[in-house]
Amino acid sequence: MSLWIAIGAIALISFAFKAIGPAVLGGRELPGRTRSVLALVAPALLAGFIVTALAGPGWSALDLTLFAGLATVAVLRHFRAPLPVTLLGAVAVTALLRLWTS
Amino acid sequence: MNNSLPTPPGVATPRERFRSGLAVGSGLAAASFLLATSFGALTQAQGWGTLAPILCSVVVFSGSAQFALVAALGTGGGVASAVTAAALINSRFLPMGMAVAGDLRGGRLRRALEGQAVVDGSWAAAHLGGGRFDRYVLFGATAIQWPAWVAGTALGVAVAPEPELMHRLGLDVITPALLVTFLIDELRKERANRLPALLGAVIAAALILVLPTGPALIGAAAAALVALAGPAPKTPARAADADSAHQADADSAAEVTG
Repeated sequence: MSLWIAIGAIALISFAFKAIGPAVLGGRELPGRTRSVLALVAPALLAGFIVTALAGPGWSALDLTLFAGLATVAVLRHFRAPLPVTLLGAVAVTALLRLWTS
Repeated sequence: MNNSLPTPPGVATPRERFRSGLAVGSGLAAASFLLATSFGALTQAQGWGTLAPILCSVVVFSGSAQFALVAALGTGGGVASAVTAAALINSRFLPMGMAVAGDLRGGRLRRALEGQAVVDGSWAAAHLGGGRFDRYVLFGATAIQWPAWVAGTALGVAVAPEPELMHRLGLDVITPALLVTFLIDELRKERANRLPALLGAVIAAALILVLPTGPALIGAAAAALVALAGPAPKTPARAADADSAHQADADSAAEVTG
């Protein structure tokens, strides 16, 4: 029973978090300053997503093989590799390093 | 990077933009599917039964929050602490929703419902630059990820593969790898994105030491406040629709499928 309560509560809370911004801010003209701040949220958060995915809570999830896989992405993208090639390269490097270090 | 025919700005119809969202979302959906099988398998190890994990994926649709829920309940934490952990993780949807708000349509209720399409990958893929989002790309990218997330959960519940398998095959790198490509695209699009990205990374790295993921991400989003250090923008307010600026997404969408 408590499992169902937890699932329901999280669903409602997530709905609310996603709903508040659009319901309150949307449809009105925001001041220029606010717009210029919101314009930079995407790059700031994207960098944050990557760091938190790599580090994990308390830096407990730091995994150098994952880091090497992401470095592969940066290198392949630098040389304009197509996305599927980039992803396969990242998976291959990560898996091979894990095989090698295990 | 440009292996697609360029779409002249302002020409793509909502249907075309939705389809480019489906295309850019297909890579994200593949990653979601694999991650969801791990979630489904994990719940079986903890006796969730068949229906609860699948329903959880239907109504919550958030990988990190669902894994936090499993972890918190698994370690004997009560409902309150499990819900708090997952809610903190999903608090990132607050700044993400604020950023996308101006590009959604309709009254408050409709915009609140449209905002439900915001998930990490779709939100990043739909960003056109300069804080503008293409809502049709957002919808398309989410429309393909959600069924993949639910189907992957169902497969994980049915087959219950060894949770270590995905790790051993290196498949857990796909989601962060996609986010890295999105970030590289953002940095190429606009020089002004470099400082907030660097600050966001540094803030997240520091906060994740002591805080859960969600608050650390809100701290990272706050790096956007560097915009206040510059001169006030003189550009006019956002246009009536995002039609004029969806070029980048058409490119990256074609690239995912190509």
